[in-house]
Amino acid sequence: MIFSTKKRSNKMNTVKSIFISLCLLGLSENSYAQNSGFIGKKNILSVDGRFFVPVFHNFGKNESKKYKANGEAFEPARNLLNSGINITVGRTLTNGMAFLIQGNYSRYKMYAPNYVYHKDINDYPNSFQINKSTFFQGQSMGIMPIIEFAGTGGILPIGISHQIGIGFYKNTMRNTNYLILAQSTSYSSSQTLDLFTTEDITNLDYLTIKSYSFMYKFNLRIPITRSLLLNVGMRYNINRTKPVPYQYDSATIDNHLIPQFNFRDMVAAAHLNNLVSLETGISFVF
Amino acid sequence: MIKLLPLLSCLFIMFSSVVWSQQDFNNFKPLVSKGDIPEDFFVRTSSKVEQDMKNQKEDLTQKEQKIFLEGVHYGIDEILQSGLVIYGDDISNYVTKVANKLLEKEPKLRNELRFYTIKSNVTNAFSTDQGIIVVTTGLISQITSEAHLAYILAHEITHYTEKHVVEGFEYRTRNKGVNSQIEQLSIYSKEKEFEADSLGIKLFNNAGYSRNYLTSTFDVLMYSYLPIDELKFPKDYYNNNLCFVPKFIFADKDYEIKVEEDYDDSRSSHPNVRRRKDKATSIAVTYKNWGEVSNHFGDKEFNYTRALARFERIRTDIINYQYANALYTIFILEKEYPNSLYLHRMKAQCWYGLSIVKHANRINRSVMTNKEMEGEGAAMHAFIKNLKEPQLASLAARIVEDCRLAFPEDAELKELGKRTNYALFESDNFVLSKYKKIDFTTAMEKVIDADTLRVDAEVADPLETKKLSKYDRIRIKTTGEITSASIDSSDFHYYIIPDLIENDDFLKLYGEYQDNIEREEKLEREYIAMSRSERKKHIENKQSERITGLEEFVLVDPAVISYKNGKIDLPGSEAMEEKFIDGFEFVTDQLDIRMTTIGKGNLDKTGTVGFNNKSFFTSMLIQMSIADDLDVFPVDYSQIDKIKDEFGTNKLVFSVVEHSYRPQISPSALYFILFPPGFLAYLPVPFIKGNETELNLIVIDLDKGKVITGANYYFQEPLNQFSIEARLYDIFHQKKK
Repeated sequence: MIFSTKKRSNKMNTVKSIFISLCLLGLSENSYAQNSGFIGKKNILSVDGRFFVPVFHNFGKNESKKYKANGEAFEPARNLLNSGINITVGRTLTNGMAFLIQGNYSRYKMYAPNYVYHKDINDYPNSFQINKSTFFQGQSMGIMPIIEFAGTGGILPIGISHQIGIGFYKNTMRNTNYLILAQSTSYSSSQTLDLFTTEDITNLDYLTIKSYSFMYKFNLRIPITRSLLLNVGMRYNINRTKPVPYQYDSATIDNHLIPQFNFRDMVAAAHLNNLVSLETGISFVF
Repeated sequence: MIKLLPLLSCLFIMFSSVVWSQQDFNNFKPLVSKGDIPEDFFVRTSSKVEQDMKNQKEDLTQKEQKIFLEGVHYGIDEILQSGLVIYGDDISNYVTKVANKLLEKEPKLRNELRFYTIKSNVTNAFSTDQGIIVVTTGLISQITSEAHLAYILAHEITHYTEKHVVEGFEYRTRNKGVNSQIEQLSIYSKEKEFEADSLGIKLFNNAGYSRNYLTSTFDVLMYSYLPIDELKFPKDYYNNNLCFVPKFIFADKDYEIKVEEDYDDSRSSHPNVRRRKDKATSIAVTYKNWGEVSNHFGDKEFNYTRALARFERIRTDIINYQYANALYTIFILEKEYPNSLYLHRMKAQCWYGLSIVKHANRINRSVMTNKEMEGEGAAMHAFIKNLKEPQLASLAARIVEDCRLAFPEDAELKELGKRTNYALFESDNFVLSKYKKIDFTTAMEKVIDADTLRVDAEVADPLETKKLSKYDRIRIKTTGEITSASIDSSDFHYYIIPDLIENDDFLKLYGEYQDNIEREEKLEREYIAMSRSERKKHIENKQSERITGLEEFVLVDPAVISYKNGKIDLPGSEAMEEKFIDGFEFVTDQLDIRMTTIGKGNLDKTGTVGFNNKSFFTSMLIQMSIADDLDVFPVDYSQIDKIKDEFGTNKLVFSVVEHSYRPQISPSALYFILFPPGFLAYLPVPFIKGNETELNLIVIDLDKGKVITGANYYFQEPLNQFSIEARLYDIFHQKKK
């Protein structure tokens, strides 16, 4: 430059900064009231993977139950990640609100109960304290109606959103064969340690627990094409399993190695463990 | 001879076209770019960087070179696209001619350089590493000879040949941690300025210019903050047969010029004028064979070019609301060009502008502070400052009406007249009935008559004292039109629009103003009576009222600013800008809205016409942004009116997107010390919502000259074409309904 003047000068503002100041005139309009969808598309079909990191019950507890079977031997294992899948369909009601129906399926590891029960030859219910066990595998399947609200600047179905839903689930055992090392607690028995697999004794298919879940999800959908969105979100669940009578008389136990009430506790513990999940997937908008 | 006739006639036609292409100052039009658009203006900046990366610069690493090239290319391109730079115009052509003279013996160097003009009232010039040299209209308006320009160009050319820009970058890069960096940089920068001054003298001397103009160039620069001339602003300037402005409103003193040559330059990038003059003088004596030329291309061409810059100066001042400066320049120029339509238009724009800034209590934007007052031009500032709002609004109405009467067919002046009169109605304490149907001088004469009448009535038969009819006397006595005693001269404004207050159009406009007031008061009463839900509904209805019906528009230079690691990601922003335009095209296509785009992206197709249109619109945007909520009158009203007809729409859309990614972990997360696993559950959230994207869009109605609607979206998604499209669809879906 030829000269730097210390006197009055007209600052050369960039057009961009000028524009921004112009836009601060408060000319924004509320778009939540209308329903323009994503470029006019208001229906959504999503498929999301759910990933639970069971952080809460993973520290120092149930150490004797963190194994997997290697033939008839126990091999140490970790409960680091559980997963599931959601399939969701929905429609935006306004730019700020949508209604969704979601089908969930998830699998999770459970810790074996402290005791299992089995009738002896006299048809007397006997309890066995589990000394060592592989992880049990649970699964739940259910349906959840969801109301979704757009977050800051979101125009549903894209952008930041907040989802609230109440779901109804059926929880069952995914596998029926688990390796257990147990010790009878009956005074009448021989007090010996016994290694057995559950299938040798009974089929665990009878275990079914209903539960319901209140869900909040913080979600972000990023458009990657004009029809596909990438989803990522954090989901927080509070679950409640349906109460089961706490009884283990002969009639209840019968051939049930694990009574329903124990299974309920296992499921409830697993649910609590899987309180938070990271979800990601894709959505098709139409 | 016969054979020569066709050649001669061709030459005549060529000569005529040269003459015709020159501006007629009585019908001056703002300077625009001409000819083919140079590559500097339309090639993608990233391509320029890529191209220059192929030639490795000495002393810079690959990474440093990239940073340097991005800095210089994106920096200059932003200036070139600012709407202020022009090429191929008469000023740029003149500058190029002078540069050609300087570089007559260096054709290779000449071919590396391009010369453009920037519309700015700062007196300056700069050169870039790419070989672009830009001079301001402010500089051209202040110089008194071609030689001044030549020396300044020689200085800038030296900056280019000595690679001062890249050296400066290298110096700053290598001395990042140095203590007292500003002082060090200042010393370094001053050395380079001395070098440019010294080596520039060689070019200046070779071109045969007179040595006398060397040091006086520094005077031009030193006094450049003052107006283009120092002429006494007379106290009867506004007086005419209808207008009288009392002298006490004018400045009661002279304002001395305070600037010194030997100011403290320890933190300045340039040495002070005294040191530069001394250095230049000492070097000049070492050269022999000094020429005697001040203007190689003649006084006429120089004066013509300078006049262009001076006319442009007014326009730039008006865009920046420097009305007092603009009026003083008009005062100087109208002596030479009293019949200039342009000067009348600009004068009317200034007074309309003053009227509205005064009403909005923002007059300080348009006048100097007392501390800044220097030179004769300060008298104009003092005069405007002394005017009270009713006085100013009335005087504005008078002056604009005079301008309109001088050019009764001019649509711009008609519109200005209407707006200035409306501004008068809106001014503080405006009461139409207070305005008199006679001018001040006549009123004073009548006062004298009436006084005589009163005195006579006391001593003799009034009907015999004067040669007035019986009915005249009765009217004077009963209506009190002119009472006894004198007229307070501070009420002069009530006497300066006697013609207007009897004008049908003026009275009709006043009727419309009163209707508007009544309507607004009624709406206000209705709004106050509404319940909360009714008010909400009412506001929604009002919004949808003002945004519907957008069937076609011109999109002007949409911009994207994307930040990466706290700095603007220039290549990323440029790439995204193209997608932004694609988004506009897709959405408007979907919604069957007709859109024309004017922007850097398609300048290779729209060429100079597109570039000029963009510049006019950008100037309007700058003017509006400085105005905030004031009712702007576009400085290029007549030009914009023509462009509007060409595009077949009066709607203009400007839009900007800003994006950054800044995940912020809330301080409340500290509570997770009590429950560490909770932190893991919270941790992904700030990263998911770490994107901050803001899309701003305004729609300007060119007929009304104001922003009629806008949209602002703040959203937390990564920046991509489709998220922008979604918002654009939402905006235009609403606005088309």
